[in-house]
Amino acid sequence: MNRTNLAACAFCVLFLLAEIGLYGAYRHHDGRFHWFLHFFIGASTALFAMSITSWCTRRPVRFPLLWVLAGHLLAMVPDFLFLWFSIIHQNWMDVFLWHIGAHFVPGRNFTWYVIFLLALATYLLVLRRRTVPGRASSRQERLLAGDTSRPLS
Amino acid sequence: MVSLRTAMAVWLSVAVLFGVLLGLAERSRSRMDDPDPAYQRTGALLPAGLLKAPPAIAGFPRPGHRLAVFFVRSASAQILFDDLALQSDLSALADVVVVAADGSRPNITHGVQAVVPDPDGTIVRAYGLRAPLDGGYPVGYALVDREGFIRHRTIDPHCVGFGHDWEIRALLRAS
Repeated sequence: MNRTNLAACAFCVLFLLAEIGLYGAYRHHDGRFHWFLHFFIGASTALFAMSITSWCTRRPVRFPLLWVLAGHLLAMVPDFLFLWFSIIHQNWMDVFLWHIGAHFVPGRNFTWYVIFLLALATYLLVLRRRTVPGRASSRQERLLAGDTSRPLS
Repeated sequence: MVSLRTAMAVWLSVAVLFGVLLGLAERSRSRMDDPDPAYQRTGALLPAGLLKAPPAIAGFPRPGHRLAVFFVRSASAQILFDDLALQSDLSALADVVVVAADGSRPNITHGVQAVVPDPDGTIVRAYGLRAPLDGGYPVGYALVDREGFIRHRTIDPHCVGFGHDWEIRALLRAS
């Protein structure tokens, strides 16, 4: 297994462990609806951001699952504030990926599920149509891509 | 570049995985939950001065005192010794009233200001709790501020004795 695969596996495991932990915490608080809601919104936002980034740079983003996890965590910030600091939900918390208003979208989580799938399709389409193989340029990206054919400096 | 086949495989796998997880989560919801989960335990307060608490419970709310009203189907099975701490904690912040659909009384009433029967659901309707999935008596709570306005109301089948007291305390303190 080369370094690229090892790094990919490590980030997959990190992502899965983090999401399972978050799901368990929400389930413990009887809040599975909210886990799905904020996951779909956070992941969709991350995927759209990844699509734009990949479109502009013409290469896949590095550590895509970390983007998704970061989006999910950002969407959940008001829940952390409630849980850890007893700060109740308020309208200004919509700055965290529409944390309050998103609950009341017609269709609820089914709507967000569809948006999430559209965002994923968009990113995959950008990867397919826009990115160019072998465009990795920086030292680290070349290492991650397993390219040792040229000097690194 | 990603091949069309790989892209389709990834998309379909994710769609099926999350579709199944979402379906399982929906199926495993309690029949005592709110039909619309967006309205259950919102974690937010209603605007001040919007909804006056109804005069459905004799003597409550008292002027200048917060009120926490718990609606349960049966008090005898739920308000047991384990709930004593919850009641005591909340009673420092608000008057605590238990409304029981079957008219039963808790085994221990320390910290509870009153236990009120509600066999025909008049009180719970007056407080505006939504009907649960099973169509039965809503189990949940309503919080009233010192000015006598309802600031929070929700179905919550686990509001008593399950550990949601931290949430109720935070909402009471903010109201």
